[in-house]
Amino acid sequence: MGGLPAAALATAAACVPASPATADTRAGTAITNTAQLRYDVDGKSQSMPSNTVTIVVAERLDIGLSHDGGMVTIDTTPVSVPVQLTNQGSGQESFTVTAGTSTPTTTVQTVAIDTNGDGRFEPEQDIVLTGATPVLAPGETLPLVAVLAPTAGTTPADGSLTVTAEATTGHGDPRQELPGLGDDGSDAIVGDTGAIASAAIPFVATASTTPTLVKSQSVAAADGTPLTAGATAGSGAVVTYTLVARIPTDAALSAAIIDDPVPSDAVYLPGTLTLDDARISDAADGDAGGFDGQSVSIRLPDRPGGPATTHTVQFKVRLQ
Amino acid sequence: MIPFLFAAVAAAASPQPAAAAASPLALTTTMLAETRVPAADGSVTMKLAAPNHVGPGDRVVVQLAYRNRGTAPIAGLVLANPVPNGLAYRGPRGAGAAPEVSVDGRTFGPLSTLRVPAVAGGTRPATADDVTHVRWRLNSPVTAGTGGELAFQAIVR
Repeated sequence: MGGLPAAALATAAACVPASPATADTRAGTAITNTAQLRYDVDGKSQSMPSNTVTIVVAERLDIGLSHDGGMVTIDTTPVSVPVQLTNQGSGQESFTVTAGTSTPTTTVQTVAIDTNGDGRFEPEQDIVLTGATPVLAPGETLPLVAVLAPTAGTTPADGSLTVTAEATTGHGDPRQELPGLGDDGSDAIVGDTGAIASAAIPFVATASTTPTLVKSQSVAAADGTPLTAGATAGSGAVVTYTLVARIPTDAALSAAIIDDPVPSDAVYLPGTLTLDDARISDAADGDAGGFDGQSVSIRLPDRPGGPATTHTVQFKVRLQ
Repeated sequence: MIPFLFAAVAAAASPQPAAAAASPLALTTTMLAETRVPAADGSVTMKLAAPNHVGPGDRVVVQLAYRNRGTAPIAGLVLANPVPNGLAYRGPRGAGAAPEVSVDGRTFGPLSTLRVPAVAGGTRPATADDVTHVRWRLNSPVTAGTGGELAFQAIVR
């Protein structure tokens, strides 16, 4: 009983990656299979190939949309709101982006590609989106900036900006099939994100007289690499929570406490609590706060009034 | 279940005739998508279907069907299948014999016995992702008019 000729097998091995793949197989890729058969007849070795069959990899349509979590404040001048759009699918894909607000006192002036990624709209270099985005490679992130402007003749009010992006190939329920619409004529299939994503970003008006608290999060995988919105944060991922308290002009503050329970599927990371970038010990030792085993608690500085100000609390947890 | 599905998909995929006219053996391969079908009672069954919409991470079953069309037994059968580029080996499938595997196309054996070069130097134990070839050696001759099916499981990289 013999084996296949080593030379033949070695030749076939040359076109097969020997190490784990680091990126998804591109949509439209043809995966072919041909087996080999060897046998003995009258003491002589014979060999023959099988038929060849081919699978064309479908294009999975997925998207991520995230905001870096900074507080958005509206006053009398336009303000830039950065948003990151990521092609989480397996094919070359462009996306259509729309944006709107929850209040007529603030409107979306424009949505542009933030060419230098600084989070600010610079008309001389940023590219205003008038249609779909350029085509993004799988995993590629496009920095965008939405410009909010107060509506003339109105008083700014608190509200939210909603940015929505969808794959131009199509979107819908996960596993929905779009025959022939993928890269290189492959089929497209809607991924777990539905190939559509929205980011609701609250904003506050400087004229607001009500204190506000905005919580946001950023997630890094267990190996420290950032995850974009829509990606699944697995066990070991580290989540950084940011709570921004805005105290409006002339508002007094007395014994104000921010109390934030750590989610049941996460573990607080000791020593990560900060108030306005200053470290706060976890123990109940007389400083501004701590962690009691269940919740992070921070007492904000008292004040009788004064100009508008913000306080930022941050801490980290690890997902179990 | 598998023979029925195999026949249906093979027809749909229009495989080319596998064997030279003079060969007493026929070898036909198919690739099928394997999907999980949850039932109302919470159980899950695996279903094979034509691989029309597979993408990265999806499970694929590679099947080899052989048959002795001649009039005499044939001995020394070895069926070998380089793992197709774009797939990652996951393990044997079905009631057939488990295959030997290789990470270089030359040395075959159980996966647990194989090693590959490590990035940091030296070697490390091979994983299913490292498998480049799958091989079955049949211990018994295949009698005239009979055949069998062997299969392995993979995912799209």
